[in-house]
Amino acid sequence: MGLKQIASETVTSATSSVDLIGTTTDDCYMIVVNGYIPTSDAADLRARVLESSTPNTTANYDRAFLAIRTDTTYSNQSNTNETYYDLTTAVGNSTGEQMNGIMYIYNANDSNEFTYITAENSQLSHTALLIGNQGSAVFTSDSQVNGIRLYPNTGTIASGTFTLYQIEQ
Amino acid sequence: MSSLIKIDETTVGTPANRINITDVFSADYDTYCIQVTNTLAGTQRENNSMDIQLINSSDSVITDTIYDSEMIFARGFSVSYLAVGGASRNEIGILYHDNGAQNGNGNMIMWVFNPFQSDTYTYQVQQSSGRMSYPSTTEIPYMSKGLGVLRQQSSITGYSFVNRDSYNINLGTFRTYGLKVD
Repeated sequence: MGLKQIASETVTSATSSVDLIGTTTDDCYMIVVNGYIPTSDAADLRARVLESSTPNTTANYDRAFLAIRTDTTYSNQSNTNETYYDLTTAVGNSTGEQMNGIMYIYNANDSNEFTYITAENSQLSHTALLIGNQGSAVFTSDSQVNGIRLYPNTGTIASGTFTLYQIEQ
Repeated sequence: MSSLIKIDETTVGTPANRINITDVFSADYDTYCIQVTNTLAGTQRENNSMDIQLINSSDSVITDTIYDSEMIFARGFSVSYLAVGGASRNEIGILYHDNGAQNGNGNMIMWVFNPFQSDTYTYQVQQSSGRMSYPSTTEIPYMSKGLGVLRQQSSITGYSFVNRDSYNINLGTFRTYGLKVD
């Protein structure tokens, strides 16, 4: 077993979204987000599945997370029937503030199954608070997913490296 | 060839309170995976653990309270999670274990982001599993998931595990991988 890079994009100037395309086998895939910084302070990083490289915007995204944070005890977070999958909590863009994380994607290529995601991340919010959302999400539609779009809920992506790996058998 | 490139493997040979893994982070990679397996403490203690600290380019362990870290900690004696951590701490993470008489064992995967870049903070996410003692000498399994940040723009080249109460780390293997981006 090993990691095979499928796609990668390094953002160095304002970019509205990043499409990571290539979940074309039944293997599990891993996305690494390194150094995501939004142009707008307190912007979340969101994800949508790509079908034939087009983002699906229907209300078929559910998630269940623990938000681990240093200012108070962890909290449960869950949503159903959203039109996106929210990865973060108000990421900051001042000195040192950014988001890093790992996502695993399951059953993306299988048109007879939902697409599942587990994720863990570490970020400093716009108030320089350490928060990490650790949990899972599911795209509740039987469809063939060939990638993931990552985008901020407001503004654009200022910088970051976004890489898709196939976990080869 | 896998994009995950092995950089170093260090196995504890001589028991020591602190294990330093130096010169593993470089400009070659921005993301690293650290695998820690089969750690064993030299002395029994309730809530026995190792603090994880970072080593700068001068080969000095950063022990100042300039880390934030937090994790959820599920111990086998309770149905609820414990929140461990906070701001302004002197460790970026914690790994629990105990000695052989308690069947102690610590195992962890930790991803480290941007340690070598001198203009960014260093972040980590981790998950761990093992056996420890709580309360007193009661053996229990545990798991944790957590995260941390070093709030300093500096070039980090390594990491360090130090056992609490000056107890020794008797066993353990520390593997460091770099994640290649082409």
